[in-house]
Amino acid sequence: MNNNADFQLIIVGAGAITQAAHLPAALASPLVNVVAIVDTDLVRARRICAVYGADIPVSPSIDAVSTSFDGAIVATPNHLHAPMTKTLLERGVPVLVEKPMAVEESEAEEIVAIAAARGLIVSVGYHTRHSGACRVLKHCVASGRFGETLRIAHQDGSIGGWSPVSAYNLNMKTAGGGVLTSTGTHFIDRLIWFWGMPDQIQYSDDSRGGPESHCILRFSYRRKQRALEGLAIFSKVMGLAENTIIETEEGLLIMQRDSAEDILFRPRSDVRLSYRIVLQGIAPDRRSLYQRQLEDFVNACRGGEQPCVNAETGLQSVRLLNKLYATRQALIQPESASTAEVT
Amino acid sequence: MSVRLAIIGASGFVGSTLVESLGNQSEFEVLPYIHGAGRAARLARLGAPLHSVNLLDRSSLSQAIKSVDYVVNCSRGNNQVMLEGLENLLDTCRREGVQRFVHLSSVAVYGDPPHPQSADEVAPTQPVPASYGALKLAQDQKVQKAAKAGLPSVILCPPNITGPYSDYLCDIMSSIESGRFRLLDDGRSAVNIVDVRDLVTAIVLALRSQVTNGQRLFICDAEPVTWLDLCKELAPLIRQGDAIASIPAEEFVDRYGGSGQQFQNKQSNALKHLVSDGVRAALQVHPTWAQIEKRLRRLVGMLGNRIEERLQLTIAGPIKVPRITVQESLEVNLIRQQLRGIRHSINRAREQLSYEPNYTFRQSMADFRHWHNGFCDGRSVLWQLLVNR
Repeated sequence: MNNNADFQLIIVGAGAITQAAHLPAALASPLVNVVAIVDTDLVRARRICAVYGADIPVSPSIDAVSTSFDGAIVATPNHLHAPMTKTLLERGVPVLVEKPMAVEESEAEEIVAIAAARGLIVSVGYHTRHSGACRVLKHCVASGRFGETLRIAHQDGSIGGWSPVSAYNLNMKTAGGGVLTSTGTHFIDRLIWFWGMPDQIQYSDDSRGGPESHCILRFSYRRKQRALEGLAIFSKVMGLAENTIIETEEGLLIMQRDSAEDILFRPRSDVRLSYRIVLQGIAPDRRSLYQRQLEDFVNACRGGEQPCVNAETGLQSVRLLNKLYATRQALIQPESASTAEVT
Repeated sequence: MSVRLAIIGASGFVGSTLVESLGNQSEFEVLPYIHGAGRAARLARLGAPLHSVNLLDRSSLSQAIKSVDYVVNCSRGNNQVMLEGLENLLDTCRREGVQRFVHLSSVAVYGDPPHPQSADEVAPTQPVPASYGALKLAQDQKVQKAAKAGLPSVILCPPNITGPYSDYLCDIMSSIESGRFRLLDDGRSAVNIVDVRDLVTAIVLALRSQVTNGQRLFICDAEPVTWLDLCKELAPLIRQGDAIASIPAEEFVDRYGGSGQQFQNKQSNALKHLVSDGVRAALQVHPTWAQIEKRLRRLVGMLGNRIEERLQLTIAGPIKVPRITVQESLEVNLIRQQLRGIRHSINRAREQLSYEPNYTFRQSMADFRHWHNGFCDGRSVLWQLLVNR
């Protein structure tokens, strides 16, 4: 435990993301002291503490936490994000909640309302927002330095991927959705951050009742001259090298990984050239994206300023996710892809 | 009444296709078993319940196999899962009175390149030691032992698997696109492949088969397809796919060797590792080891530079300076598959299972392209932006 830190933190949920990201981020941060890990599976909670040699009390519920705390990370299965966040807010505790903030839009609206009424900080776990690549890309688009944005394309796919301990991702009720909710939501968040809500959307996926494993999103924004159009593909069944391509009047802005620190620019005038772009005046940041996110949350709690991704922003993402699922079309698949004739 | 069928390793390429194919058949009550949640997205989308099993946990296995009639084993994993896990599974199946056990093996048990007689299953198995083929052979032997002990078993040996969702074909495509692939001798050699849906057909036939003595059966496509044919069918999906460079097979063998994973001399490697700078530096942290190291160095130093040099040469071997050419970064293992040469025959599967491929090579590849196009937005103008940047 970091007894010198003055922000007392609890982590709710002892799953894979807490083990791999939230706990090491908290242990690395000089700002926080983890006073409890809350999970009904106490054996699992103790085990993840032991992995880091951390002597942290474990607790089966928030009620059973014996010490006082200043904030909480909620890293539970998706369907528990909202109920857990609301419970904590109602007790006056600021929350950093994993994405998506809620499965249902109404739950997300409640969180926004409670946080506003009580003046509490809610930060949503879109950790890639803290990467240098996302910030420099946002700057390049917003500044207009490379001219008007003409088209956007994004893909991110792998065969398999994140493996939650509880396997909540395999069930529609606990996950709320498939690859769009787990992977695509980061892109959705950035889309809204960069350009706002799209004016038109067209969405298709391969779900046959369960969480989708592959989806395609087409979107557009109305403009005076011509619409800004975009495409995004997310997959858990096809390897697609993560890439965001933004075509501008001057050339292509390319973000190869949303967790990277820089982006590339390929000028239209000479496609053989490629420039690496970073934001000037920012020292190299050795902190993980999760530590940056946590410290952004702590600083917001201490200073009263809004965190990088607040509840209102989280609500926008939940709205767009729900809108996409509501307008879902079946992805056209070859009949023979899934129905071998076995006679 | 339908037969209860447990599919172990259901989240993989073959397992998922099998579950999807049998989903609507009243003959089987399908029980898909997975190990972890990470790779089961394709199955989860169906919305049907998935079950979890750990092959290394006997009690978990007993629960899974209880009241099951048939078992298909598509599982993969580390060596422990593949060997100890399989043994647990076979024991449990025997104990629970499973009536049919179908095990997915691989043509790799015949070696890389395969034994020249391995057009037929009776050829000697000669996998490269410590390779995937060796592991699959060890598995085959366990299944055959279980078959002798009374578990009715069939072993199916597919080559590389194609059809919709084939990551093997996706890998070839990305190798070609990245310039890391070469045809050998203009791609004239035979390629052994099977459409995943034909493999599924063979699995179902094996479940119904009366020949259950643990014999190995090749399950391949029937047509004489070459690597050039395969690349031509993939070409429409690949940027500059019709311009794949070719090199003489002889030149490739000279440069990269003709066989797959080579057996490493483990003892000499271990000795080399022990005297490596990294290990020595780590040991020096401990005062006793540091003292021993210091004394040893002094002793060797007393012998003179030439003897020290000779000692180093004996233990670590000469410094190898590899030739580095511009086109060095090739997908050597993939290209080397063209040296296999042999075409595996499906005659035994025809005789014993009445197996006959349903999909022609062209149909299979057309379906793969259709799947790939559908999943890549029909190769729209916006999608082109992602690949033509």
